[in-house]
Amino acid sequence: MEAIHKTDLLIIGAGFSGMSAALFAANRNVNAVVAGGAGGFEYSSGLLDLWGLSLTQKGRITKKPWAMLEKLSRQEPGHPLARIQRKTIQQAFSELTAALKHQGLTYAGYERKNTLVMTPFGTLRPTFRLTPAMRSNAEAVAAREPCLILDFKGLREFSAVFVREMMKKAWKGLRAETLEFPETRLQREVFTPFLARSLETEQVQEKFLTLIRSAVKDETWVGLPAVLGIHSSEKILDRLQAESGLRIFEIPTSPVSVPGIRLKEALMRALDNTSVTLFQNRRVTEVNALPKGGFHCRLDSDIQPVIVHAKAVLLATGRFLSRGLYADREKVHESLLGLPVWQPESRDQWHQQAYFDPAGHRINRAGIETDAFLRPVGPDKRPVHETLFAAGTLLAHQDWIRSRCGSGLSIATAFKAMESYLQIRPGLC
Amino acid sequence: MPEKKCFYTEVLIIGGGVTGTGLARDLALRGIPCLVLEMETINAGASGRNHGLLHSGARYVSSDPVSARECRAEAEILKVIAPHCIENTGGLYLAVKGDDEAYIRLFPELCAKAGIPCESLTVKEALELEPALSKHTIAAFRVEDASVEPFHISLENMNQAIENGARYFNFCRVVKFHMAGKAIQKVTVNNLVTRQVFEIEARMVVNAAGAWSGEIAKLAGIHVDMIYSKGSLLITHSRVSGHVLNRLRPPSDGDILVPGGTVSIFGTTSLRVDRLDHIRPTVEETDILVKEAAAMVPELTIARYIRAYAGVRPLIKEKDPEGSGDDRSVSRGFSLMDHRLDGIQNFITITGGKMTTFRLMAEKTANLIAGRLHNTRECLTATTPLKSGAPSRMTEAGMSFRLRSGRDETEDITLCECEMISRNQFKELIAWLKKNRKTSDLNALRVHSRLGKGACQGTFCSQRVTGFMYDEDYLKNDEGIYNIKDLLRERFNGQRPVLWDGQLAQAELNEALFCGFYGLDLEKPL
Repeated sequence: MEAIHKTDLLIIGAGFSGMSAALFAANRNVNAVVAGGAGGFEYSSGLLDLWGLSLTQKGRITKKPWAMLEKLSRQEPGHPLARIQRKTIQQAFSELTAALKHQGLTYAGYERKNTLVMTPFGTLRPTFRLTPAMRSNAEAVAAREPCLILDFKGLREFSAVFVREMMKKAWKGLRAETLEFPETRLQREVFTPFLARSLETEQVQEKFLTLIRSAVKDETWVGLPAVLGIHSSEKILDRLQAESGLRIFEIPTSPVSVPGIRLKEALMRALDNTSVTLFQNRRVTEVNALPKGGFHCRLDSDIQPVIVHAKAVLLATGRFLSRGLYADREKVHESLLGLPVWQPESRDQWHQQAYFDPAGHRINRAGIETDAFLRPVGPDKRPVHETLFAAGTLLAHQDWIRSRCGSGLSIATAFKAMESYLQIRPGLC
Repeated sequence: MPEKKCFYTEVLIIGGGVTGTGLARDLALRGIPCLVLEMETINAGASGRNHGLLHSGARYVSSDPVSARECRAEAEILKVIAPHCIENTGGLYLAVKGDDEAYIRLFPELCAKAGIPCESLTVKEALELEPALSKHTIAAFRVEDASVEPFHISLENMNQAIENGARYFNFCRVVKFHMAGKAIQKVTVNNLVTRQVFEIEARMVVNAAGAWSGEIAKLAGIHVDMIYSKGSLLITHSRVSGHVLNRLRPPSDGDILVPGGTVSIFGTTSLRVDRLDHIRPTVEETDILVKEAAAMVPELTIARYIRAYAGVRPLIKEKDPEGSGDDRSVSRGFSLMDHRLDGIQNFITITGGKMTTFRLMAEKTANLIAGRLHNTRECLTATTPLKSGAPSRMTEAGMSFRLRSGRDETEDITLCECEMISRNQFKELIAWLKKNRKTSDLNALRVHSRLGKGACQGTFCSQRVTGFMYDEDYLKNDEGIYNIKDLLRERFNGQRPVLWDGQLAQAELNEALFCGFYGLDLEKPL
């Protein structure tokens, strides 16, 4: 038995672009379903990047994302971000961050500038919009006042000494200490999501405060891996700071990433009681375009499969890790509809010889080419389907990893795809 | 790292592969002081870039029956003295539809003639033993092949040599021989890490530099005509067979699959190359191997490969090379050259041969040296267990977990999940490396353990181990970043040709993390 669900728009992929698109759909009262994997969030730093790589100096970062995007539109007019107006990108960011703020995640930053945040390697990475605990991270880096970096016993992904050693040259008052996180005595290994969830309780917050107070000497700043709660992270931060009198900041960690989970859960909450239905943990396994327009799609799960009849589809399935793209020894394929994939000629050209080649690997620019409405196109450059759209890292002619533009790309193309959908919708039968 | 300007030793051995380390062990056990100079790390050349196959001898019954006999005898010795480095898998020789039937009929006869045990199996029996075999298998024979861990063998050689008085310097390159009359009086050496230049005086100098033997001989003005035959191999994500699987045909591309611990190794290609720099496995070679694989084991066409690697076989050019151009037809026997014949009294080159016969090569070489140094002690390597006190068992795939399971170490945590290596195991290894090798960087840990060798190829373990090394005070300042960058660069060379499907997704995650997040692609990450 299969349940049948009818919708105007099926968004495939519940990663950052899919969930952004879902939010934009909800705000426009579009009847939509979002389904598919959300794994991307757990790999996300939780920082919202716009553009972080210099296009004028090789191997450098930039603090001026908008200036770089202007340059990009001249240098690489085919780049998906070069094809979207600055005003549209700004709107997309504003709408998304407004919704996140409503869910308790205040993303802010400079109008024109990137902010530099320290990573667990003691390196600085540029980002555009960030939460208060990460903004304090950037402020701490700028201030270079006496600061205690903490890590926790059994936490393998983060070493305070690593941060100290990397940064101590230009930051004299930096100290590192390992603490036993409250109520983890019996645990050999601890994981950041677990610590973050346990900090949601007042009792653990109390103990945590006592712990920090005892560890601090003359420091005014305390930095720690991002574990300050999931749902009420900002309230927890406020409380810890108010009661300790310290400036406390978070350092984003490698996966599984708490800031990524916060983002995912906030976006999910934002979809509650809206025109968008979320089918969680269901993988879209088949998409069949109907001759008369529209799509029949199959969503699989451990329980009952669901058939979705959708008038339009937005592909936000990501790249290789999330299986939106699939590569065999010969070629790169689009996994669901077998769409044409723009790609280097042969596998030998996929990667440079040197891993850190500043030119980046060509395979990362492979992907789906679209028309101005973000509809995937065939070799004739015409849309493959009237009502099929694509957004996010699946798109061709961009290298989101090296450019540090992943979230910007996802948010802006999701926004643009939604606008396109609304423009084309009157023509739907 | 040596800080002195001049060293003295009885025997200077150039090359820390299985030949050089095997010789060091032999000499040390005879009480002859020696010093091994290695340009990179143990087994950086062909010794670490082969199948890890302990030959039964069956592969050479047609082309080189003498080598076949030597293999059999040596394999039997190694199984006794170094059982911890060997997995006694047994081997199968398999022919599939279309293979030369005359060769198949001849095979058991040739084995018998060379004294190589070989048992004929029915196809049904073979398929029961190895379900992954092709349904088109037409003939099968069982032989006594085994799987050997080459790094483990060489590390144990060197460690045991050191325990018996030998010395070992790595990252040291010989740049000049100083002649005094008809002998090499001293050798100038460049430490590639510290850029220090120093000298070594020795009574005898042995060239065991593998593919680089020709270049070393050239420093003494001697011409050794080498053939560089590049071979590439693939490592599967999981183990494919229980036995070593050999294709029953004259040696060709992609006809040996060797299981080792949790993985299998498949190869090889044979490609004549002119130069020794930038030896890397290519996309093209990978594709040749994967296509060839299908004939014997069909699932190898869809298997996940975690990396590829390439080595250069050091072959000595015969006077009249056969016209076929296939370097596999060049003898795999070894050459021991006493350069007295070239007018240099104290210089020997030992080259060619194979992993399986390294001990015999060392014995013959050491006999020559001992004679010259008037040492009358006999060779002990065939009867002395090849076992040192070093924690080097972690080089073996899957071993780390086996060593740990059953032990209750509540304070310990796993840092490398692919290969199940724990913090305490790394701690033990680092302490040992610091004491005995004066080095403890990530690449040294990789050489001496399974770090970075599992499915994630360093994505998770490298960050954790680096963090751990900082915590334990083994790393200072920004060293960790350069450690990780070196490891990732090195690992990428082997990954590049196998990046499709699952490994491509892994590489994407790796790049997102190390470049996108940590910024290691930037000129100045800080």
